[in-house]
Amino acid sequence: MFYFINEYILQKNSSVEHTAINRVKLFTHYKQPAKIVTKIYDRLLHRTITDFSLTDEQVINMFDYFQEATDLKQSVFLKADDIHLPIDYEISVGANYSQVSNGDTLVENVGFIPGTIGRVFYQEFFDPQGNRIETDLWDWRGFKSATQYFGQNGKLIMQRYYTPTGKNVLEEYYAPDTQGNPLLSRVILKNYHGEGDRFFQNSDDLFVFFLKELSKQAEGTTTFISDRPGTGVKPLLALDDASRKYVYIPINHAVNPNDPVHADLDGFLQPAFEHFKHFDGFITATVQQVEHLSVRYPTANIFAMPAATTLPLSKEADDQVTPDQRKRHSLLYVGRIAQDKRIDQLLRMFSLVKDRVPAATFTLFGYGDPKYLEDMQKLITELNLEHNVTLNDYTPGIESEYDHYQVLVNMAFADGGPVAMAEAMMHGLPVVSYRFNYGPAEYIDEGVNGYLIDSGQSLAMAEKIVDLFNDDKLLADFSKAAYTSAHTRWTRRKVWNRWQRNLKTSF
Amino acid sequence: MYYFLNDNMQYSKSGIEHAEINRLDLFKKHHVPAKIVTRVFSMKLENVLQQSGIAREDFINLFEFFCGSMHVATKTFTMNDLSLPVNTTSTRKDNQLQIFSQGKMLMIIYFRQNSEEISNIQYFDVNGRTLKMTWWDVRGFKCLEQYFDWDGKISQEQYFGPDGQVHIEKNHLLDRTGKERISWKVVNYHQGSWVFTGMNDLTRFFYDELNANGEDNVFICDRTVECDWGLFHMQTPAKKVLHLHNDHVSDPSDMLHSTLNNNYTNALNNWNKWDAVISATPEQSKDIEDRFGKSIPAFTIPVGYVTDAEIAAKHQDFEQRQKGLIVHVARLAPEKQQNHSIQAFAKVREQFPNARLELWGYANGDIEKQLKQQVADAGLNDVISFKGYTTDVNAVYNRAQIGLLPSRAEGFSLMLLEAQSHGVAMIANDVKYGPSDIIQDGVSGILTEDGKPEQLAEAMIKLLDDQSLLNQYSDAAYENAKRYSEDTVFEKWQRLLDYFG
Repeated sequence: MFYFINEYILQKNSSVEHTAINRVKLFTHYKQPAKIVTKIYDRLLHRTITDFSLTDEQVINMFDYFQEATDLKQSVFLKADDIHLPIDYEISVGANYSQVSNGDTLVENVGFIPGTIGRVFYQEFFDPQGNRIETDLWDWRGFKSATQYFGQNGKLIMQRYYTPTGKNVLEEYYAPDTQGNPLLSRVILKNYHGEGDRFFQNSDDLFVFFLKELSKQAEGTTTFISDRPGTGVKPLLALDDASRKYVYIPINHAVNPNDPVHADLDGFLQPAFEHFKHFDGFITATVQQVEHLSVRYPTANIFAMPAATTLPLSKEADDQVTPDQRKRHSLLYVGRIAQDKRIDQLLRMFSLVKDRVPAATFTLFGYGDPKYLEDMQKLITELNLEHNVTLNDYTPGIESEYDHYQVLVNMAFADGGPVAMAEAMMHGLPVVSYRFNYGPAEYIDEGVNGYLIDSGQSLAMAEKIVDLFNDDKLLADFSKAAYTSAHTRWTRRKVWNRWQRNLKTSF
Repeated sequence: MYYFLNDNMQYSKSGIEHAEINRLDLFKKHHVPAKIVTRVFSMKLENVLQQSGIAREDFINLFEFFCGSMHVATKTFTMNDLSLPVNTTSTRKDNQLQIFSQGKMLMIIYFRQNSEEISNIQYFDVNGRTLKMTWWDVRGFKCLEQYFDWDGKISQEQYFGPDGQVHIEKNHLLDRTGKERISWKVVNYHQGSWVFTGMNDLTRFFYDELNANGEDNVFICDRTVECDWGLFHMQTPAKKVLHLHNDHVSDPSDMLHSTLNNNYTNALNNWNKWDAVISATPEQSKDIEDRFGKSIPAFTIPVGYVTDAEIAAKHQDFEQRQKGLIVHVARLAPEKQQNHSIQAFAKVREQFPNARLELWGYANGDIEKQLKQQVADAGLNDVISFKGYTTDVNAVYNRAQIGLLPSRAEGFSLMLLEAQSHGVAMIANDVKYGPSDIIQDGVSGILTEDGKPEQLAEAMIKLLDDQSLLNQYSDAAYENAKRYSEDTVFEKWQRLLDYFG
């Protein structure tokens, strides 16, 4: 069994989650049992994963595990009518929550899951003074999952978790941190497997225990791949059993991305490399990163695996979307809208493109800090780009967007290997990108399916983009080349074979 | 069903609890379904009920009702039943076992007195802060958890059933002035949750749930201060009976106008909410009717009776009684006026150096201290003794020649009847209510005036002076008690039972 260790799967995911999602689908396709492991409590998880076409069998969450709710056969759309509110109480129905009263006194609010009509999310109880007594938390699948209890100062003191049949299985106790916010200070796992109560200091310790249990219970060899270093490295270091352990490196490993061989390692990766013999291997997205890391750790097993896969071209010959079938003179960016992705520079660079190609458009997809997004909107206005630039939110269905655009662009400072860049090429978009560690140099064949621009040369980047926009044949050739290289290097079968060789496990 | 409403049942019982137990036994014997109902939580209720001789099926407690713990087989809960986590060390200190993990205190296990049974466990977080205190019922299941908030205050208590689920929560949250304002929540009951504004509101819900048994029920309220709000505010219809256990006014010299006894003020002000009222003596029933009218029936039913077995029992040989032994059996309390007994006995002792006075009863407050001081000051330490509470009061009566009851007021005085049924000549104040009904003045006992301890002394001297007279009184007492046989008393209940059909 393969477990890909992650912190969460959110409604808006980063490359870390996308890489894990792609990988679990690949493994599932070749009938290798694999699951994404998530750590945080999320009672909407089983709805979120459907946005990414994942099934319950492909995911295992730590809380679901202890709550004996890993594969609930039935998912029930629970409404306020279904939760046995006493008939003595009156219900005042609202859109986001309903109020339940006993005459003049508010007894509880029943809250609904955002984006649903009346699907129960929580039940918040009040004493006659309006103090919050406790809040019941309901799972998407329609069972009472947890209850939060509050102290005299209204702060969270305890959270208790149940199985779908209502048995108490876990209690988390909270103390104030230096900011006066609840900090987990004790976890009690109640009589797990009839072995008496177990005590943990925090959820990290509980997570280590959880991974140990997963390892013990799987048939045959268990292999862990840590996708998110901050989540997976420490627990795997604490695991001293016969399981196989790999660390996936989703970022540029160096604190200074331009000094990959000598600069300090990222804080979460440092302990992994310090004890590299504890691990069976380290995985990156690009060969270049493997080379740099191997200089530092010549005896460590480090190899590269693509973060995304696709079908061979022959199966999709008629599916190639030529540039003339796409939005004319359209530029695309997919990724986080954040300072380190230098969105402001992208916008200024596009401004230069627009000067030369007035009808050019630039579409961005990604999530970002609301303040930064606001600033970027202001910049768009300031640069007079309102009619040409569209700042879109992250969308799970990004796959279907690539075919509408002609060229992908990226000016990031550093990356592990942008998944979007590979995916764009799989969809026939040539890429114009700054050189940064890592990705562009590996994905892009200079002058064939894209251009590599030295960092800081935004005018040069603009010019290359203009060249592509003004030369239909050039653009078409680059597009075709992008398709060909992507569908040759990153086919599912090829990547799967490489996994098998690198993991040296018999499947 | 007949529900006898009370607040709590403890080892030490007042006249009210004794009255209820007597009533329960009588109802059972005549196959009338009845239960004693209490509201207060106790982890030791099982032991109390056993000691009280009350069968489980005749008793309902509010907490046990909602937690489903009315019928639980007792099992042990010792260290053999608790699995300690691995990698911990432990240290035993008296009745505590301290468990450490990585040098930090993880929990403290507390044992019951002189036992290996676990009573409660205290849990700590990594910073040594107490998280919760968990308590076990004497029958061996977890029944209570108390949670401590960031300021170390117990902000919530949760009551568990043997099913491991919470069923009642007691919230200790604050009002706007920063004072604790208790509220309650009933959880996992009929799959729903209710929030109650206080114990009265919860009691009201409890009584309505008891009433939902598909029968026409009669609630006899034996403790008005605690139980009548809940009873009055029931949402479902039921028959409600006020049972008086004491004089209902504070100044018996003006029965019609003087202030009502605090305990009964609310109950009697809401006269029209009752379907009937019970007094233990005809005198009180008449006083009630005089003041409140006859819109509801007043029943006169003694709160005690002499069982057939007791009537048939062999009388104690008069020679076997301890010569000169005088007993005063009553709670140590101002209204029982033990101070008058002590004062009167001082005179008796002068004439009868072998006389002894035993004070039997439990004390509330610091009255015991005061009385002991009085005895010491009078130099009577070797002839007056404080014996405390006993469950075997009959043995006391069998030894005594004379009993004293110089109370300021009584509801009936079970003690009087018990003493007489054991052949004890009684000297009692002629106060409301009871003494003048139960004692046959000049035959089985002597009535005195309240506030005149010299009359008590006179009566005691009169009897001690003439042992053959005392013997006559003793025989007369046995005879007198027959007026309160089981059948006679149940006949009076039957009238009420017939009334409620």
